[in-house]
Amino acid sequence: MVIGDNYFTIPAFTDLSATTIYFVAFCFLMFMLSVPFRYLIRPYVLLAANIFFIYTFGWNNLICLFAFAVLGYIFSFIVKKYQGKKAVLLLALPFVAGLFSFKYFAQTTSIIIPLGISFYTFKILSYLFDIYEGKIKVEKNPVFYLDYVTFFPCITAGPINRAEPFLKELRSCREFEYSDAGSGFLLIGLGLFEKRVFCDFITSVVERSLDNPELLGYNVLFGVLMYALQIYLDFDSYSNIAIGAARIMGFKLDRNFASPYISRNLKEFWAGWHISLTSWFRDYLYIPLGGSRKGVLRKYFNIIFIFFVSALWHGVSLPFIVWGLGHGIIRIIEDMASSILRKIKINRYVGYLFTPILIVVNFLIVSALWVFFRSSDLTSALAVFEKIVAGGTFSYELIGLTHNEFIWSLFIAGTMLVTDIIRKLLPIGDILGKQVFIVRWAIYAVLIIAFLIFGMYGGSFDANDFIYRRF
Amino acid sequence: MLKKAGRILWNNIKILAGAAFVLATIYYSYLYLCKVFINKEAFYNDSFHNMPKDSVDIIVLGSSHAQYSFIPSFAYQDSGLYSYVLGSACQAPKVSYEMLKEALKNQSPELVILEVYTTTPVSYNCEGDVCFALAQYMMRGQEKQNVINFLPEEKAETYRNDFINNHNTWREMESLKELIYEKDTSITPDFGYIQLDAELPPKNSWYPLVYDNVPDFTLDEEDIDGLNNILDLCKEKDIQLLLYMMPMDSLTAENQGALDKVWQWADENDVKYLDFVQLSRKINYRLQIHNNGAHCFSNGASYITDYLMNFVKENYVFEHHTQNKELDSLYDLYVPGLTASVFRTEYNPVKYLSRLINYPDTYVIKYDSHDRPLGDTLRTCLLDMGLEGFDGYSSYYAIVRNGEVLVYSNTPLSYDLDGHHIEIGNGVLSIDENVINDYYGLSFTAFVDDFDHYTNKNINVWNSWDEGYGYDYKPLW
Repeated sequence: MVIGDNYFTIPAFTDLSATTIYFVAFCFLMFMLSVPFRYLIRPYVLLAANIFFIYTFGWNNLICLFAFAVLGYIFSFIVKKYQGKKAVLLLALPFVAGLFSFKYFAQTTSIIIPLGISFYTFKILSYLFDIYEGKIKVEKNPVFYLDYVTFFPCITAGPINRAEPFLKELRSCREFEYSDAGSGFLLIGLGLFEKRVFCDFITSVVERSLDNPELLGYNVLFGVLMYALQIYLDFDSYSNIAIGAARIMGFKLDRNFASPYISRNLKEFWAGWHISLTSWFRDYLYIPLGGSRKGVLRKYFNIIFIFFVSALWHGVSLPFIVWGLGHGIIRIIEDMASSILRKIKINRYVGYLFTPILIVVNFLIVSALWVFFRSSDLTSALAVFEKIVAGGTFSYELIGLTHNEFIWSLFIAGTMLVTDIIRKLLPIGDILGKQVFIVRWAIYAVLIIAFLIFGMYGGSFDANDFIYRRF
Repeated sequence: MLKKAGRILWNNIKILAGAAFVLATIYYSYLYLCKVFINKEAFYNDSFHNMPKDSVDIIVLGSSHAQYSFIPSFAYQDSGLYSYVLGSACQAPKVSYEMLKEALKNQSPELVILEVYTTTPVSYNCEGDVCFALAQYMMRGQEKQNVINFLPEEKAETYRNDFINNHNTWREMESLKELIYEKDTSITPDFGYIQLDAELPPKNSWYPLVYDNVPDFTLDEEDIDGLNNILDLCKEKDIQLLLYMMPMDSLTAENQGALDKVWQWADENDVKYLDFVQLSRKINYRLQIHNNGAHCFSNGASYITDYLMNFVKENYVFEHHTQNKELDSLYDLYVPGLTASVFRTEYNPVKYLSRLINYPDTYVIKYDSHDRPLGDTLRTCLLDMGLEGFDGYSSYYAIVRNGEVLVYSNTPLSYDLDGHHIEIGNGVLSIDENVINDYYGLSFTAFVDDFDHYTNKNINVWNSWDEGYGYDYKPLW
């Protein structure tokens, strides 16, 4: 078995966490190897890299991953053989049971959740479901299959990429494209910058605000809003790094975030948040359950069910369930409201006027629900709201911020807002990636210099891990 | 084919050019940032490097005990020599050796005075470490790396790079102007001395213990190596070496045993030394009055500096001393403040008056004879001051500035000075009608006009009298 702190010892050398310079070096090595080995032994080199990558986080993670992967490989043939028979879907149960057992016991015991189990379980399931649906063929070559399941950029925190495009790209052996490498490295650079300069700083602001029991009112509200920013920066930065790492090796992953906070309602928010997971639930749960095709009540049940499962996917605990159900209920209320509003024909321009208000309200709702996401139990989550309601004047000094730190946190929030608006309109990553090399490399230089000054590093700093690596 | 090869070549050239551009930009930016985000304390103490080349005559090395015990300004007053203290908390001889190497890059002193507290077991509980040497002082190049390497690896890592340690100071910066690097060429006129004012009133005092029988002690190999290295370097550079140890509480027989070994080493190597533990009675240096149990107060530091400099004048010749007017004024700069601090806490009238002679500002003397003569000691001191009109028997009232008697009288006098009205007479001492407390009209009073940085008041008064000691401390305006 895999579990427990002491069953297998973690190797003495460092893991290849995506925030480290080792990860960047590893990506660069893979880039160098992927060019000459593109036509011949690329899948084998990639598998070796995947295994090494996971090994650096401990044998236990590797064993668990391979146990799931091998089971998925065997099941894929069974699914193919009994394609179309619903009973075969029961083969998904061992994976679901395994995943949720880990989730449950991690809450109640000292068991550590194996690295990336939520992500590769869903990848295996999507692979099996796609075979069942006849969307893809069974991948007979175990190396190709394992390359997909263990693909290292996505293993720790997603995105949950699909088998079909990945295997297609693995086989395609496209020629080396400089623009892919350029935009890939740029995405890695931007992701690292986002994490180590923006996110880790905002994390420290959140900790100073929400973990200080003496703060009340706006000081706590500030922390709640900053947490919304933190979790976005955290996950978006990892997704950028993962997508960039995949791209330099010749794999194109879809974007995982599309300006989610620039949304007028939760429907739009979820269309832009953790897209690979949302679309997974949509394709493999919501639509098979009937989606919106079987009446309003069934639709609402499906919505609630999807958010409930999504909550369990994040963790089997009451705060996560409240968070999920909260989203589900508000999503239904929104749906009802929009049905009513559709009947009242509102002038298009009046609608535009309301857009900023709706975006702000939606952001506040999402931020409030993140409180449950962050809290270890329901009591502490509710205590946050009690403290906000208790009132009190805002003072960044009370939070423990200097004037410069306060300005810097606002600057980060502003920068993310502006870049999200631009990203909503333009594929900024691709555009930057296609710039003349001197512009692109100048961006690297600016990022590194800004990191040197504003980055969170040095002897007294412990880097925060990615939030989504816990799942 | 040729076209394709050309394209690949061009792409590679672009990559190399881009990489070179980025690396160069980052490298030069990094060098610049290292200057901006330097440890500000180290920057402050960079004044040692700003000393004119080959100007320093005496370098004092050692732990915080050296930093608190040796006052370069007083040493200059006593001898006209320029000295600098390169000390840091718990600075072991091996660190002092690296410090000396650093100092010799730009200076050619004729004497090195080494304080040896860290060779004794009492220093083993020392809370500081050599990091302080880096944090507070400006070591560079290989010497800096050598000192860092003395630290445990995990700690060393955090000291290897000033910039990495201090980049977070952007959070406290008050203006973007602070991002513009300007080299500080100033010299801080403390010259490495740390002023510690005595507590008032003084606690009970005592002399440090001196043991008749001490256990045998083996000095730490690293300390011996440090001492040997310093000695070798001094010999190579034709520099004299003098060791000293400060009195302090909690010195056990074992510590004295350790010191004996250091003095034995000194004897074997023909190095002079001063053990102020042994000398404390002779110079009337008392713990808790001159020392807080660990470090010297400014009054105690004046004792040590005076004694050291007298010893230096008697035993060493400085052939290469070059007078520098700019340095003269800098060494004089803190003298009034330091002297005032010494006055404020000095109980020994002889010591008090001997320093008053050199006091470069204004003081008032009020001696009410009450038809009784002063004690011999105090009378001699006052006579030695050469005060105009003072005979040692009659009442004497005077105002002195920069050693010059502005006005004196054997009868009560009043005088306007700098817009203030001063009255001095039998049992009367007032400034602008503010009466200064005079202990029962007892024999002798002097006060010193000085800006006191500690209390932000600009005048203080001290009473002292023959055959005893006491304090009064009263800010006037």
